[in-house]
Amino acid sequence: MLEVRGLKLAFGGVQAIDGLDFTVPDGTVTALIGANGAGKTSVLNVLSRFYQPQAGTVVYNGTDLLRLRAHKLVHAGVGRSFQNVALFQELPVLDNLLVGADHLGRTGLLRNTLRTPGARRHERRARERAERVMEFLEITDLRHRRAGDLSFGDRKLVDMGRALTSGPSLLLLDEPASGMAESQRDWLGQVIRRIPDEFGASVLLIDHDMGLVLGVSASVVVMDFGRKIAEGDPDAVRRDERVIAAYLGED
Amino acid sequence: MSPASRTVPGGRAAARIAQWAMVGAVVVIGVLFPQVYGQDFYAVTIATECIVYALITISLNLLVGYGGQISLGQAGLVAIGGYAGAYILEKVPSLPFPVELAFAAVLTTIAGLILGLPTGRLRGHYLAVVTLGLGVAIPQIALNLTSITNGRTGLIVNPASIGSLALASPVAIYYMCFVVTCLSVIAIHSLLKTRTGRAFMAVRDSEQAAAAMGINVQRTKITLFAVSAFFAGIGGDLFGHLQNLVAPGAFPFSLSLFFLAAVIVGGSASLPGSVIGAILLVLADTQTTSLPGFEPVVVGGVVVLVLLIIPGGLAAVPATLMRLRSRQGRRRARTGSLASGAGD
Amino acid sequence: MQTFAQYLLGSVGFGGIYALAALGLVLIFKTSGVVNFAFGALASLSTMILWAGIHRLHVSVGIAWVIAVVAALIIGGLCEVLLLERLRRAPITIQIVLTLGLLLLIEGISGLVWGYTPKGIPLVIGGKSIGGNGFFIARDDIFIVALTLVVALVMTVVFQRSRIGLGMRAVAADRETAALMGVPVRRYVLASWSIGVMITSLSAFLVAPKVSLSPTMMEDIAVFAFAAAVLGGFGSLVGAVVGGFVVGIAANLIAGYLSTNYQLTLVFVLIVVVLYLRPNGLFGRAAVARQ
Repeated sequence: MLEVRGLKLAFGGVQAIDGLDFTVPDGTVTALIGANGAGKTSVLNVLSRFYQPQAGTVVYNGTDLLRLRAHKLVHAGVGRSFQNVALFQELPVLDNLLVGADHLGRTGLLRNTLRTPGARRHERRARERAERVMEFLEITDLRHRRAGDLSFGDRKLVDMGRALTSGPSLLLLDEPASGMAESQRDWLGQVIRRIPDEFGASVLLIDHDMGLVLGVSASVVVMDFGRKIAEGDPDAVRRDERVIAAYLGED
Repeated sequence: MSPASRTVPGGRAAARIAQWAMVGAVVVIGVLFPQVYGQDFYAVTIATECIVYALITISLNLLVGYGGQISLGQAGLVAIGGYAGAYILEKVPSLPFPVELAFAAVLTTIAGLILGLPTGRLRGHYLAVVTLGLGVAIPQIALNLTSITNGRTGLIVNPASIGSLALASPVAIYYMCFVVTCLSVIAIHSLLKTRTGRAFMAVRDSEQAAAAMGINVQRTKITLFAVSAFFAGIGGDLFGHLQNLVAPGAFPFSLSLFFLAAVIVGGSASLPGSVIGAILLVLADTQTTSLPGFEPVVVGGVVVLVLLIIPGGLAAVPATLMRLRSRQGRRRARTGSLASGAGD
Repeated sequence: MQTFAQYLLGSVGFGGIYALAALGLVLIFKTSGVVNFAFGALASLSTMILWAGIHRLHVSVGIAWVIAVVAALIIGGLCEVLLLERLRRAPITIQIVLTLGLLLLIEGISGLVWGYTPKGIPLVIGGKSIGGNGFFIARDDIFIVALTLVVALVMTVVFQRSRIGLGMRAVAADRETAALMGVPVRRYVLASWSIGVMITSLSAFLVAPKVSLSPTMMEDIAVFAFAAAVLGGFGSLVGAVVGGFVVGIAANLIAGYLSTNYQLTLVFVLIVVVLYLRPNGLFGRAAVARQ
């Protein structure tokens, strides 16, 4: 379980996150929603250690995430995707996913150069993982394409696939549906809903698309101006007046 | 529903066969060259120079092309390798060649590690200046550290030996360099296909995403500098044997630039590209020595022309041609369907 | 103390030369985002024209200067016209290599035309050094420092106050937006290349009497000037001037107090230390990272 308590983050004078509490239970999809600038991506960037908050705690299964360096998070079971897609764009899709699995390998420079059995074993396992994820996301046919050449929608899938291949127990998804066609979003919703069962990971989902979010999540946290204004199951949130005023009313 | 139809470019198997055919051809030519031109010591020496420069270019390509770092001082690392080999061979004349090579490589690797340390903070122009400093400083240190380097005169490089076999003739040196370079390229190629190599490229493409995938960015960069230096050191040792002499004047700043030009002209992040780039520039340089004054014009002209015509370097030529061909094919298909539509 | 002052006085000439050369490099980088590694060779070429003016056309030194300055403006503009589109979007390594190719090409051509034998260029202001009581400064060095400061001052004023400067700053800050706002981007970039090469050429005119002219004369100067520009933050005009003087003075102090043998090495050690402490140079602004 991920527990966020009293989180505060300011850039200069701007209070991006202002005392936020929420939890992500294991084995579920939890959504974090809010209008543009509500502070959603800032939360994700705190969770993945790109920003250092001024106050608050972030504890995942007993580990204080705020004590870890960014590259240690994945070892603690936290994987993430990026809103603007930060793929390794010169590499083929398969290699992007393999990098996701690479933190599981234990072979160093020398054994890799000599291709020892241990190094080969890691390659094999990483490939198996990557193939499974590509099949799950239906991007197997993109395997050898250079990531930078793909459409934005496909790149979002590869980004998500890379995070999945890292074998997270908590997956942070930053607007996975942005830039996708309407029909593709429904399909993506189905896919995200299956992640807890297929990969044993809980999901923290950030998105604008209310249809996607409410259809997929077990619980929803609504943010506005850096604060939580509502929390509960999708139906309760849909009826919440403050949410309607702050967010749904705009649509 | 699966996202819209996504075509996979065909011909991967064909491309792979072509690749292996090319590697095979290079090896066969490499092995047979001295058999044909063995009497022509000048030709053999030029060929050896091509081989050694190719290895050093590849070592720099690791850094620049695969790692996305910049270096204007690779000749400094080459110098360290060359001096290390020459020095140890002077002290222990009967030292087996592999030990000498390892000594040169390890010493250069240490220099590379030190050079890699500030890369966590420095990039772009700043890194360019730091590496430039190394490239400028090493020959000056070599010039003044006379007790080890023998100052301006430099060190005579004794022939390498394995057991009682001295590798002194141009043909012997050729084969020595050829074998060492082939083994190095194989090692680099396999390293690049593993998690270490992927980490280099991941850091190059996005440091943030690399960190999110569990890659220690700073350590990866230092490793990259060390690996690049390791092979530059090997190249430096061979360089010494090729010249029979290591002297401060043999490693000017322009040599670093020569290697960088070979990387870019050949195509960054391409091993065959580096080989071709190095050979092209060595030939452009050596074939014009009979026309005094024309070397810089020819070398500079080649660099400017290649980069103006093919910005991706020579390695990008097949891909560019392929794209042109497929575009033509598509155009033909479209006109074909138009024609049939008109017939209806 | 007296020797210290003398070392200081003795170093300002080269300091000014590095500063001028770096100014040209930085100006071009600011507006076009290109590191023009050929800047030294282009300046040598202009100096060859200066020499040809004096020794082939037999005009007076002053008129030869005018001819050479005009030539430098044209050379800079030509480079921009021929290379810029290819260079602008390329990564820095490709910029360096392509302009490096240009450097070789120009040095080679000018070597073919004028040969590699060192040539003399007259000092702008000759005569005995000024001073007494053990403090001396060459008249020529005074002129160099004065010219450097004047050029830097004029550039700063132009950059901050004039319409041209405003346009250049707009282009430097954000090329796309400037273009959308109707700023004639291309004209300003062209102007900055012309003026940039011209300023670096001035440094070459001044250094030629000290080191004697050849096609490769500026190679070492260019290395120091590039280092000076980076030291100053690569993009700051003030930084380029300060960087130039710092490098010039440091080089002379190192040679005087420590060792001439390791002069170059120690200068770079100093630069590396400074950059390690201030990764964006002395006058560089750190790019604020926000995703």
